[in-house]
Parts: sequence; structure tokens; C-alpha cells
Amino acid sequence: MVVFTIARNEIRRLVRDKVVLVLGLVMLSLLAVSVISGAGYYKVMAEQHEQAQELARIQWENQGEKNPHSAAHYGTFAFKPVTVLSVFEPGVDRYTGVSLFMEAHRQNFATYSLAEDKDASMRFAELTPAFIFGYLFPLFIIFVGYRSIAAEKESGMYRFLVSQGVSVKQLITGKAIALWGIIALLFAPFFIVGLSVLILTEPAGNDLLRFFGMNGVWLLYFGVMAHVTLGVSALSKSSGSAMVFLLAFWMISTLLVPKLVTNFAAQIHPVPNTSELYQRIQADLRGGIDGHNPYSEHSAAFRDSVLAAHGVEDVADLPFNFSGLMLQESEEFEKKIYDYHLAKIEEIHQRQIQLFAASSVLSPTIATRLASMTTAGTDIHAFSHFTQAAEAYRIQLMRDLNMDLKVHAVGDRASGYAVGSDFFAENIAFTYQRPNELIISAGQRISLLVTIVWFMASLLFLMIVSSKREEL
Amino acid sequence: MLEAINLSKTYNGHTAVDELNLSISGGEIYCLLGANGAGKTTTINLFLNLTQPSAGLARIDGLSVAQYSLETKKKLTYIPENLSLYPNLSGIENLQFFSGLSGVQLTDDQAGELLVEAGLQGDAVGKRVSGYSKGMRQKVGIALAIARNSSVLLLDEPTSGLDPSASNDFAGLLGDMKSRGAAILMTTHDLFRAKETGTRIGIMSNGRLVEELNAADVSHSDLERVYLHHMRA
Repeated sequence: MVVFTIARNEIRRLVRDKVVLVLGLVMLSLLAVSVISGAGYYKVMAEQHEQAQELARIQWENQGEKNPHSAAHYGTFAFKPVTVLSVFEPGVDRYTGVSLFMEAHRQNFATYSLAEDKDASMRFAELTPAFIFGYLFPLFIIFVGYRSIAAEKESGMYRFLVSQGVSVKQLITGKAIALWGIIALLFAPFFIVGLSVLILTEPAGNDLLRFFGMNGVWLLYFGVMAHVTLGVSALSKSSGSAMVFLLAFWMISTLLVPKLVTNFAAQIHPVPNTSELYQRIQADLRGGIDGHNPYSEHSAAFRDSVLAAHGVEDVADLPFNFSGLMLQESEEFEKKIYDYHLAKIEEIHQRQIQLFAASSVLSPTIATRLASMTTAGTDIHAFSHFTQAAEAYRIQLMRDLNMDLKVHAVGDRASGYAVGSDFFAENIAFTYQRPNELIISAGQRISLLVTIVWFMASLLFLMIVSSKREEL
Repeated sequence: MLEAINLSKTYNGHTAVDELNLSISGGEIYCLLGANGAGKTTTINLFLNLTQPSAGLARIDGLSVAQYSLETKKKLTYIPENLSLYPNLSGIENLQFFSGLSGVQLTDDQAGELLVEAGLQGDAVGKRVSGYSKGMRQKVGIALAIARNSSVLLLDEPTSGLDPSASNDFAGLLGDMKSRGAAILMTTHDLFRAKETGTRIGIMSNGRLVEELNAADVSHSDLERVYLHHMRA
């Protein structure tokens, strides 16, 4: 087959090219360093997560004798488990924070992100396989492929090949197979090492499936870059102009569009700052029951309604502890207020994400980053899944504490009611299960779809270029 | 056999080849002379089907090159003025690749022998082509023609830039190809080489074949006189 003869020759030629060889070795070295450092980060984080979660539970169970609601204010922590896939695609985990403090009356944001401990440059150029594949590997593909056909036109080789009966389609197909071969040559060691790391760390749930999905996304992206590179090389009159065009494409896709869209999204869908948000929440909270202020208008009204319902005139005559009931009532009211405001924030975030996702039609890099984070389970949707689980746990815990107070702190036991270690040990512990489904939102499905569309479009582009007659 | 029958090519109103009629049989070397822009390279391109004729026919062994592009290309070897080879592959590897495109698979030994037969030194065949002179690269082209068993050779100013010794070697190789029965069309500016190597000589001017001579019937000085006459006309 002519195409395989061309492909074999091209691979041999490229492998002997010192520039390609050096660039390939640099890529492999960067990937090795990124996997090693990522694995180290994962090991530390996984250990810290386990220790911190254990410590939080020990502290909870051994907080001493106290009123259940005091314990609610004492609070506890939920730690987001680190997935081994973050070795390859850390996604938003390093910026969103890993620990969530859970206490009575308020929903907190996650804190202690790795990014808080690093300088700003780290946010841009953190060396991870995802960064290398998203930003540097396309450059490698461009450098390897931009001369493929353009330089052969310049040197007269193209004309010579056509005179041998080689068609444009055969030439481009052969070159494409060769470029894919070089990509595979570099990707295979990473894939094998990555799979080994995954297996050695005993993958949880569908991590293995996610790993394959993530690698599939990256291969689609490399396909896009390879097809565009070869198509542009075939259409360009000189290798210099091919290089200029391809570098412009890389810059627009990886730097310009993401930056512009991020800024644009922040401008048209601004997120209020934290203090502004809490001011609004506090203002709304004043319009409802306050579990700690029995004299407030709303608290007094609630007390009167409860007394009327039970036909008594004093809370001491109620068959349960009124404070426990009022605190739970307050908790539920506060949850509504928090849910309302946080849902608005979430809506703004969703709009920003939707805009960002929509811009992936302009940039295969955006589509790929979103899709690889989706498959790795490290995207913003996965983070939201964790915070929702943590909030559900907080609500359950607060209810358990308030209900204990309501039910047991009655009569003689009302004054100075306290519970101890046995009680706290019986409280449910926070355990987080990542979703089994790879895709948990429509936005994720779209990002995967757009990546596939980019691949198909790039293939179509190359096929159209290939269908031209010999006079390229 | 190479045939041009009323072959014409017009680019944007400019006639590059004008009703060319030509027939080159196997075992014949036809040298096409002419100034730059006379239409020599366009004629080669028409036989390679790199450009479509505006009128007329270009045929190789009776097949229209426009209609049977792939089939006719299998019968020919084209050697341009500067034969492009892959510089970081050896002569053997280049020959194996190009012959492989025609389905001719050569072992290292076979490729090496062909290159030596085409005039390369034995110690050069395994070396990278980046160190080859122009003459050495042209010899790889001849080796390819032998490997492909081409019945037609299209040579576009192949001796341009070669030193006299290399040019003489190349002429010898063309003689060998001629004796193998190949029909050879060579464009050149070199009147001496055309007279020494060619069987027939054609002179093109403004796209037209204005003179055709038997090489054996014309002296060097007469050829020069006739050529200059047409160039100054």
C-alpha cells in the first residue's frame, strides 16, 4: 500500500530528525516529571485527606460533654476525597479548596486550595499532564507536522512524488498516519505509566473507565491538531507561512479565546464578592426566625404559635424542649435563605460556564479541557456534587443535634443539658461517594460532544484538502 | 512511446505550448532545446499530467495521460533539474522508498547494486543523501528508472549545474537507458550535450516546435547557428 510506504518513510525520516528527536525527548521528560510530581501530590493529599477526616471525626467524638447545639457551633469538617485521576487532570480541585467547615446556621465555602499557597504563575503553568497535553503537545505536533507537505512543495519533492503516481489523498493520508504514529510513540509510554499508576493505587469506582475516557479525549484533541496541521501544510505555499498560520491558530485556541471569554463572562455575569454576599444573606436572615434570639419579632411569633398549638402558656409546659424546636426551625429558615442566595451564585457560575463551554466551538483547547476534566471527575460539576453532599450531611447532622435537644432536654434535664462522647460517636459520619455516572450534567455532555465535533470537523477539513487534484 | 498530438496549453491568455506534435519511440533520446519560457517544462508537465492540456493529447504508450493518469505515471520516471531526495535517508533508503511507491520492493543489496549500476560509488550508497552532490542525486534518479523498469524518461534540464565530468557520466547513463529501449525526452540548454546524447533534437520558441533535427545529421556549429537563428527571430 502506497500510503503505508509513505507513512513508514515519514516516520523513519522524522525519527532521524534531530529537532523532532530533541522535542520528543523534552515532551517525554516533561510528562515523566508531571506524572511523578502529580503522583507525589496525590499521595500527600490522599494521606492528608485521610488523616484530616479521621482527626475531624476524633475531635467531633471527643469534644467533651456539651449541649448538642454548642456542638453544632463547634462544627466539623468535610474533606473532598482526592481522586487518583487528579495526577493527570487536577481540574478545578487545586483552586476550589478541599475542606468545608460545617456548622450551625450557615453554609460555608470550601477553603484551603493548593493555589492559595502558591504564587500566581502556578495557576497558569502548573506542570501536569493535562497542561502539557492541552498547551505544549499541540506545539510539538505543529513543529513536527508543519513542514510535512509544504516543505515538499518547496523542495520539489511533492512534484516528484506526484510524478511517481502518488495522489494527493495518498500523500496526505500517509503523512497523517505518520504523524499519528509519532504521537502514539510519545503517548504510549505515558498511557502505560499512567495505567500502571492507576492500577497500583487501586482505582476506586469507575476510575479505570474515566482514565480511558480522559485519554480518549486527549487523543481526539491531538487528532484535531494533527489534521489542522497537515491540512494547513498542504494548503500553504511555503512551510514558513504554514508555521505562522498554525502558531496563530495555537495562540488563538489556547491563549486568546480562553482569556477573552473568561474576562467577558466575568463582565456580563459578575459574581458578587463574599462580603457583599454575606451582607445580603444577613439582611434576609433578619426577616425570619433567629434561633438564638427568643425576643425577636419572628421568634416570639413562632413561640406563640407553638404554645397555642399545644394549649399551654409557657414553653416550660411544652412536652419537649422549645429551644431545640426553635433552633431547628431557625436552621430550616436559614437553609432556605442560604439556598436562595447560593442558588443565585450557582446560577451565575452556570451562566459563566455555559458561556465558556459555548466558546469551545471557537477553541478545541477549551472543549478538550472541559471534556478531560469531565471524564476525570475533577470539573466544577464534580465539585458541586461534593458540596451538595456535604450540605446534605450538615443539614442531617444539625437536625439530629437539634432533635436530641428538643426530645431529651425536657423537665429536670432542661437546665444544663449536655451530651457526651457516646452520643457524638452515634452521630452519622461524613462519607462521600463520587457519582458513578461519567456525565452528571448537560454541560458536560456538550463539552464531550463539542470535542468529538472538533475531531470530525478537522477530519473533514483534511479530507476536503486531500480531495484536491495534484495542482495543490 | 511518447506522443504529443496538437498539444496546446494556455495560461491566462498566454500560450505556453502551441499545437505541439511530437513522437518519441523507445530507444530514442529526444532533446528539447529552447530559451526560458519557450514551453519545454510545460511540455514535461503535460506529460506528467501536472497540468491539463487546453487542447490536444499527450500520450504514453498509446494511453492518454489525462485519461489514464496513474497508469501512464507507472510507465515513466521523471528526473527534474534538482532531484529532491530525503536528506536524512541513505541512497539505498531513498531508492527503496521511491521504488516502493510503484510496488517494487528492493532489498538493501538489490538497491545498492542498482545504485552502483547507475554510477554511484559503492561506499556512497549507504550514506545519507545530505552529503550527495547534484550528480550523485541524478544517479539515484536513473537507478529508480532502472528499478521501475520505466519505458519512458522525462528529464527536465537534468545536466544543468553539473560539472563536465558528471554531465558526461550522466550522458553515458542515458545511453544505457536508451539501449534498454526507453523513450527519453530531455529538456536542456546545453547544445553540446544535446548533440552528443540526443537521437533527435527539437527547438521550441514561444510554445511552438520550430525546428526538428537528427542529431547525427547536424554538426555542433550548425546546431548552434540554427538555434541562435530561432532565438533571435
